[in-house]
Amino acid sequence: MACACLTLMRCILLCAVIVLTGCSAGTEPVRISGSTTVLPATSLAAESFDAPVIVNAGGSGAGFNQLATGQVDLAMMSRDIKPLERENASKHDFTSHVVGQDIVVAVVSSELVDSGISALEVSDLGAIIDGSISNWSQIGGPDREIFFIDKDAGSGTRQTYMLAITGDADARAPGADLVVGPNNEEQTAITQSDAALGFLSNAWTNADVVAVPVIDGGDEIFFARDLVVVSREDLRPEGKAFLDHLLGDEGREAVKASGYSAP
Amino acid sequence: MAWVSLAIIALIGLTLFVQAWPAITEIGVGFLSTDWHPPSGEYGLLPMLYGSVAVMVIAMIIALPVGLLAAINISETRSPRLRAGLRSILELLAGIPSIVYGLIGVAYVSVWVAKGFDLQSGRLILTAGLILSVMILPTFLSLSVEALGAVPRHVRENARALGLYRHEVILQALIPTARKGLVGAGLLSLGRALGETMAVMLVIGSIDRLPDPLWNVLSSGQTLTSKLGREMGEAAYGSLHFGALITLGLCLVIMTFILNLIATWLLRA
Repeated sequence: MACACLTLMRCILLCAVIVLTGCSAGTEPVRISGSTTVLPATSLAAESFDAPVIVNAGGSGAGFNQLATGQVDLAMMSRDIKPLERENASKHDFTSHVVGQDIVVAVVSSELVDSGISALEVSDLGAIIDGSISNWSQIGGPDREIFFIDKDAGSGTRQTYMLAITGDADARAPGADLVVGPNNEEQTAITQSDAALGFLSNAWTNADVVAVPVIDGGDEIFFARDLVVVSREDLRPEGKAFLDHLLGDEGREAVKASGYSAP
Repeated sequence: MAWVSLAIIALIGLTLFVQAWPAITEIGVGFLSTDWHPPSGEYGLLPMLYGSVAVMVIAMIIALPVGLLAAINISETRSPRLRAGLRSILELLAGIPSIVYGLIGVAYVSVWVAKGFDLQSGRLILTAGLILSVMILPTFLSLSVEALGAVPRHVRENARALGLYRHEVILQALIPTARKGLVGAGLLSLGRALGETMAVMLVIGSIDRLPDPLWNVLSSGQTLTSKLGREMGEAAYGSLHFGALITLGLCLVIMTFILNLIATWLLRA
């Protein structure tokens, strides 16, 4: 009981974006929840949909969990469903629908770019994550402690960069100085610092949160991934209609307008 | 009605216990480690336990003296009319939703703390304690004013008749007489600090690690409540991860229960 309450509060607080369009009386609104990376595109698409849609954030893991327990019609995810997640919800079949692609980039505080950090070696990133490099001066930057911001364990973004950098999507990060949930919380933390390093979708960079290229063996590498919307086998017709809308022309426009590339 | 509330409490306790039991038997002493990493089946709750106690202690260190001095001032030196006015303002303060404190914490307090201590981030155990101290102050203050107000008039009069100065009346007659009520007020506000989630979750940094050294409150941490708030949504119902989180909830309930028990015992008429 207490826990459902916490989850609810968290959703309301950190990210709730409720988009109610149209007002067809009597029909249950379509509920969709999950990744804060996919959220802007879904919200935009919900505005051009002719039935009410409730869009909530909470992260890929929470979104999938809510779908598995029937609290929402669709889940937004910025990663694949983990085998363990499928196993825990083996009563149901889940289908992933790719709505777009993005690139996870290494982002740093703008002050670091001004003082000489122009690219990061993938091996150095690994060393920062495990804590063996802890000062920017060790990799050609200013003499400041590295403030590494990690993301929640269930985050799709975290799975992507951990897999690409350490080879283990669930790797531990002893070098982390702060753990954040939604993307906007990470943006705030990076903005407030002058020595922060984090990872975000490329559409979430701005003047204070600057993407720097990641280099491996002299070449720049990119952590590309699919952004998906997951449905359960017992999807309601209203949910199916919204899914079709997301995968259609207007949905693609919404994905592009949010800074991602559409299939 | 009393039975209904009792039944609800029993039901909550039972539900938590039933849900936590598989995890307790499977993880066992594994809970007493400092590593929390669900993918490898490690569920050490010591960092969260430490965080909960640490923020509680910091909040008390600040709120207790401030609250006590303010309570004495209000109840002993102000007119009854002003006292009534202050009471309603205090109750208003106690009613501010915790998320508002959390947002103020993220936007201002954590920034001030970071600047003040020259740190990269102000999302620290100390910041959470600071926010909590402000949050529990109204509760502690209004309960303390009540406790001091309940001291019979003749206690003050006798003390004064003995020729004691005002500060002596307060220190030697008033506070000893109201002692139980004051301790009860402290414990009830502690309970509030222990259960606070939103505000703490936003400012504590969410790192499942014991500070090094242990008393270094200028490092990020995690409390039982913030851990639940962060991870509950991701844990599949019925999984070991879920059970482990419920166990954290059970710890929290037991701690709150003990605090309330002591408070009720001290506050009994």
